[in-house]
Amino acid sequence: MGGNGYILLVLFLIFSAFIKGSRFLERKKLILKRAELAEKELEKELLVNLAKKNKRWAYLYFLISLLGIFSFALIPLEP
Amino acid sequence: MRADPMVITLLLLLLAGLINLINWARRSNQRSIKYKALINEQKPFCLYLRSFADDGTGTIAPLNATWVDIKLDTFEKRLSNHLFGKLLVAVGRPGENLPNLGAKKMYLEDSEWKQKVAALISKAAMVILKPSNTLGLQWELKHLIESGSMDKTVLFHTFNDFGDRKLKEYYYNEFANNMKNELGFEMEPFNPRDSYSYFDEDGLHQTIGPFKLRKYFEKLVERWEMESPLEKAMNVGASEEFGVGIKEEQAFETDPEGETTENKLFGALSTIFSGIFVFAVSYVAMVMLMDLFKLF
Repeated sequence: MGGNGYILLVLFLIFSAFIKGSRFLERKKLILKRAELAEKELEKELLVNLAKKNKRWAYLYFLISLLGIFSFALIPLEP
Repeated sequence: MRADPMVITLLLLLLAGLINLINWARRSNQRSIKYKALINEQKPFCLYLRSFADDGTGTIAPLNATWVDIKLDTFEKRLSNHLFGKLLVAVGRPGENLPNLGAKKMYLEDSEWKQKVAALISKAAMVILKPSNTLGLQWELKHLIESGSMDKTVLFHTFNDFGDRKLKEYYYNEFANNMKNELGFEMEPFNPRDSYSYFDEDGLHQTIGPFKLRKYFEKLVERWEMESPLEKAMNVGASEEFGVGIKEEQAFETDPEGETTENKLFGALSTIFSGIFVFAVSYVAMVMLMDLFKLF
């Protein structure tokens, strides 16, 4: 069960990273929506910068999830 | 003993599911509190004023962003933890099905909330205000100052800042400027470590840490207890001049202390059953996945 167990664990991590990335994207959208409503320029600027940060985090998690998928090649499958 | 990754995955799934379900069970078993019960009861309570938009915010980031979306620690929950068992009440969002954990909620009609909140401010031993720029909260802040209740008001230093320090500083400075220019209260410069603050008798801004909040509440309760019942009644009476209509309220069903024995039992049972449910679902999922991998 060891090899298959690792597959399950990696699947879990891939899924977690993917969902976490999606959440950062959702958060980015929310922040941009708030930035549109912001009355002052400074607030708008801070919110836009934060949205950019969230976007970067989202892409990082998507990358981790992609690396997780590629890592399947390294896991030996049990016969 | 060698840790099996399958077991680790299963345990992670189980843990996540259990935490979420326990949280859900606790939220759905919360009892609301009646306005009349609070006004009539001679019991000190803390009133939490915030914008409805802030409900559910403040979750600690690493858990919030995971796929299981565990919302353990909202600002409101943290506040109630700092008060450690003291009665914390707040006005609930009209029509909400699943109130957040933390304060006991009361539900008020749109047409009467201002009058009733005014009465509650007079009756409360302590008022905690979470700054926000919504109109409702601005009115509450002005009312706190006009009614001379700032000596029992504590400011909760949390903002809708998405956990960003710069944004928090910006919102804090905006709030401090507003307090200084429009309301005449000068606040200390921004410090990210500050959790709560209040204005002392001389109008000076003092900050307190989270673990001193309960002590400060107890100090305010002592003062609250010194007030005679007549004074308290007059306080509430003064607020009723705003048009508080408690006649239409039905007799309160809820003990202001909190949950009844049946509720506690129901809460415990639903928690146990939800745990069994998650375990069963995880077990079935595990068996199905194992069957699937046997195919390889």
